[in-house]
Amino acid sequence: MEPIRVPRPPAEAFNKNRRVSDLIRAQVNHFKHIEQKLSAEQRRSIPQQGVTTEAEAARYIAAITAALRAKPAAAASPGPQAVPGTSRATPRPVPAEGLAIAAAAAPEAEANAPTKDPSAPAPKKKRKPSNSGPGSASKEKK
Amino acid sequence: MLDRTLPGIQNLRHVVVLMMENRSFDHLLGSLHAQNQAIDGLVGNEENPDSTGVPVTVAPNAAYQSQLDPDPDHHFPAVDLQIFGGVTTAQNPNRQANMQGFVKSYFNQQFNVPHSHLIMNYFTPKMLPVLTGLAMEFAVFNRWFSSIPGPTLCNRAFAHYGTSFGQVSMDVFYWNKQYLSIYERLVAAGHTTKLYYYDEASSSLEVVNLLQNQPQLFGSFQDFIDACNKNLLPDYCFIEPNYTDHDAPDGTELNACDQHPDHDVRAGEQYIASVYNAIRNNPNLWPNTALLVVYDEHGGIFDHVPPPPCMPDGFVAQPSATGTPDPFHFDRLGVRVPAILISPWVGRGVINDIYEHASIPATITEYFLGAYAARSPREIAANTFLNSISLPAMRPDNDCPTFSNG
Repeated sequence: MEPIRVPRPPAEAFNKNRRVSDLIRAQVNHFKHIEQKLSAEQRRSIPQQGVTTEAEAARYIAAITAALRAKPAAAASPGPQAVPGTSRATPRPVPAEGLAIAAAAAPEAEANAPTKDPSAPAPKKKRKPSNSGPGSASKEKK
Repeated sequence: MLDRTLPGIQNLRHVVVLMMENRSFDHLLGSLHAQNQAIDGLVGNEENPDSTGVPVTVAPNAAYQSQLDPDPDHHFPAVDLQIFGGVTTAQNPNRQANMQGFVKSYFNQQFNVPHSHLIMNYFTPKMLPVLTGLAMEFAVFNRWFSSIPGPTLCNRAFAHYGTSFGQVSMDVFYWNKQYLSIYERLVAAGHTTKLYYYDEASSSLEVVNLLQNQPQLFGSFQDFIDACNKNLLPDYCFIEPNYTDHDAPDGTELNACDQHPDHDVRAGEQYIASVYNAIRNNPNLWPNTALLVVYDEHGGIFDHVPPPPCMPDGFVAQPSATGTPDPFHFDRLGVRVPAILISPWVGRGVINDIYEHASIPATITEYFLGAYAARSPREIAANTFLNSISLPAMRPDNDCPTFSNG
């Protein structure tokens, strides 16, 4: 079977100044909810300007994600709180909350040696002709 | 019940789910009906009335970008209009889903009649070689529906928890959380699992609960690629696309690859191909990995199949939450979305049973954990999909597609 060729988006498809969609606005709102729980030290690195564009959202989200990933694992989830507009029709059993989760991915290596995957995103370099493989979804900066 | 004597199941070690954004089945795969009539796509005469009453017929004129701008409304009230054509329960308590309100709904955003017609456009197979190629070469689900007739976050919650905990909106905070996520269940049982977001700037949509409280569950897309290359793929992983156009730390421009309007659909095609190739090109993974490519919801775009009823979820969303005069009892599904099951043990064809996103934790739980009672009624009732890994022998290498740069 011949390889299927995958078209790539043109350079003009990229627009980091696009206004954020409802989805990204909601995502940012969720991150703002998280931001309030960060320490003053952690908040110092969070951009505080408004989020209107996708690039601004990305900068803000990256800063909080980095802060969260740097945190030690929490032992418990937030406790039950009422959510306006929702109600339980029937009570259900409540499993224990807040599992202490150890390293999530410590899979055993498979038997055979690692195989180079030719589809892995190519190294992203600036100011070179695009050489990304299918799915890298990146292009060179103009 | 999963038949564990199937050779593909006996070989299965990893399940990977890639969830894309906001496109309906007919919009992306409807054209395949012409190539395979078992695929429940478009005949070509499906239509919706516009706001003036003129019928608008589906057309193979979808564009990669700049056509569905503004983003078609897919919040609960808009989807209610799309599904029921504007008939309310006050007008007819026994109203039936007729899929006749998509053009009217899109018109409501700009009051532009010609522009509202664009919601009926669909892609041709040639424009989407990855998704349509996978659909033709593996098993495409004719009846995979979003879990809620509503937007992204509540639908994605079903893929993680088997419920949205009563939410029908984007305000999903899981404060009433009483069911564990599939990741928590797996880790507690000693299995390995990850959610891979694209990068820190795109991050996850599972923010308020899992990313906040269990950040160690997460990795980047590069981590997924590395895990594939090093044969360290977790038992189960869930992959998210890049949700924004942004610069990488080194200045490289990264296109959003989620296919959410108005992002270029080609970037998503590349992303799907890269996930597939990462598994397909590793002979240590390909025989023992199942990949599900699925979309979270339809994004307000036309589909012709009325969503069926389903097991009530045990929750009720009140009218203040639904934005309609009626409460929602989580007793019917949302609009149909593309979904494809990929494995060398899967034959070409269609799967006709009804699935929804609660089928994801239901399937993973069934396969890796077995009996597990503390789940939502929806998840317990959801169909599981691994029985389609049913070929008596693995397909030969040259019988499964590969993708290369275009």
